[in-house]
Amino acid sequence: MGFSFGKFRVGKARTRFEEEALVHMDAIYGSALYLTRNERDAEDLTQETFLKAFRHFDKYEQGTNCRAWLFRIMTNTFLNKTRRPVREMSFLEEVDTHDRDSGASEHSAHLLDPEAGFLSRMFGDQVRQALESLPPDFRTAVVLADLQDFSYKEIADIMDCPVGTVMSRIFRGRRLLQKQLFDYAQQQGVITGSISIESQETKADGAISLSEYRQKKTASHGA
Amino acid sequence: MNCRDVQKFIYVYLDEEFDKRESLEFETHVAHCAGCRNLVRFEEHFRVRLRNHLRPTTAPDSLRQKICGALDKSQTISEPSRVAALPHRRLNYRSAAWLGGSLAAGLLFTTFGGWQQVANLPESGEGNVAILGAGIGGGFVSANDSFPIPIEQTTDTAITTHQGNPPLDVQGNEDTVQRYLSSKEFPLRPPLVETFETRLLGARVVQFGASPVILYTYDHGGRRISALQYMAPGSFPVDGKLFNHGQHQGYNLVSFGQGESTVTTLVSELPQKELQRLIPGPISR
Repeated sequence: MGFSFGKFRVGKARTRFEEEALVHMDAIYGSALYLTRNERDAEDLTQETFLKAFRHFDKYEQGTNCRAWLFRIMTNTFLNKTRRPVREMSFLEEVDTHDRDSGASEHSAHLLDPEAGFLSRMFGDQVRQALESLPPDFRTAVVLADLQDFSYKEIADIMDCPVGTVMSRIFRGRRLLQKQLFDYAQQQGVITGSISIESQETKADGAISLSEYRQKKTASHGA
Repeated sequence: MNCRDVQKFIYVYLDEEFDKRESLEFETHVAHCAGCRNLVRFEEHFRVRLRNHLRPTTAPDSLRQKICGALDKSQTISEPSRVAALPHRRLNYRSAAWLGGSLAAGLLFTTFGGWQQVANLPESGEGNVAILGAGIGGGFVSANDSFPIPIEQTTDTAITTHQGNPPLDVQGNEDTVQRYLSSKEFPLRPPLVETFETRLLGARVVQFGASPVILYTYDHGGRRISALQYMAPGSFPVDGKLFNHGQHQGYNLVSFGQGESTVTTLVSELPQKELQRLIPGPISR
């Protein structure tokens, strides 16, 4: 009565938490590093993710995808912070600027000929720097897809948005990365000229509509 | 499928999100289109190289230890046996002092399991801080669970304190505040767990007669939380007990127990759910 949680229950929950959740600490921290862009904030974000997860561990359905559940907590925590103007968070700086700029740059994203030497000049530091320059939503989608290998559906669940929006964020995120890396290569004099340049289309709301494509195909097959 | 579709859905294809038929349509077009073939080749290489560069990282041991420590603390707060890690005698002494002082000041009430607000409390000269009295006739924690205590019986004064936002005796994080409190012979822990989002700004000790109340001020995502920590009478373990929660005068309040007999009331403009999420450890109602 009133003291229904006791040592036993708490201890059991802790053991379960260690077995199911804490084993994903490397993955959470590794992603947090890309999202927050510095070690201190990445550690804080990782710690907050696990403390929140522990606090709500009773809501986690045992046997389901604990890794995705943790990433959902981390992503929400991170994106909620970036969408809020809190001065002391260093990684929030320039977010608004990125968001404003992203529209223009994604429409001018370049597709480069693989023979131009650009791909062979992709270095780790530049990739990290380019990734860290992406707006938070795109950065998160790319990290979840390319670092953590989540499916679009899983990313949609984690980021709490439609699959079409995930497609769009990955598309635009990768194209912005290419542009950034292309610029680095140009600055180094590695690239002498681009080969193929075409703008890409996305819907006005930022989502690539696979379902629209499928509907169109179904209609044409039916006709 | 045409060139435009290929450009638009190239990552859907490379990320293997197309179904079999769609993949086949995609590949059929690419097989007959040199431009799209170049594009696919480039994007495929780019994707592979990108993934190769995004290497997994190992979390530092210090972080691992920090998180395990914070989790231990969550448990500590809710596990009666581990609360003894605090200087037990001193705490009991303080408990008695709080209770005695409160009685002397006429601040406690015998309402079973209830709180009553003390109107027109004498100013201590250290700020307008509430004393939140707890019933001693059976105390907060009753065997028959007479909770939650109606919010209307809780204190307007806690809200006044929050509104008044009095200056802090000590500013700093948990370690700084805890050191300060120990130096003042209050071997107490700040009630909330400091996180990425929740930061302790400082604390203030307010004395009403012999009855101290510790006011902690937290910043949570740019919003202020006042946490008033005080002693429930008796030696009932109150760990993890949610006493009271609700809205009053446009503020959200929640009161919960920690350890043997420490009660904390949080006051903030934060939504009630968010406020309750800050309570460390499991909570029983």
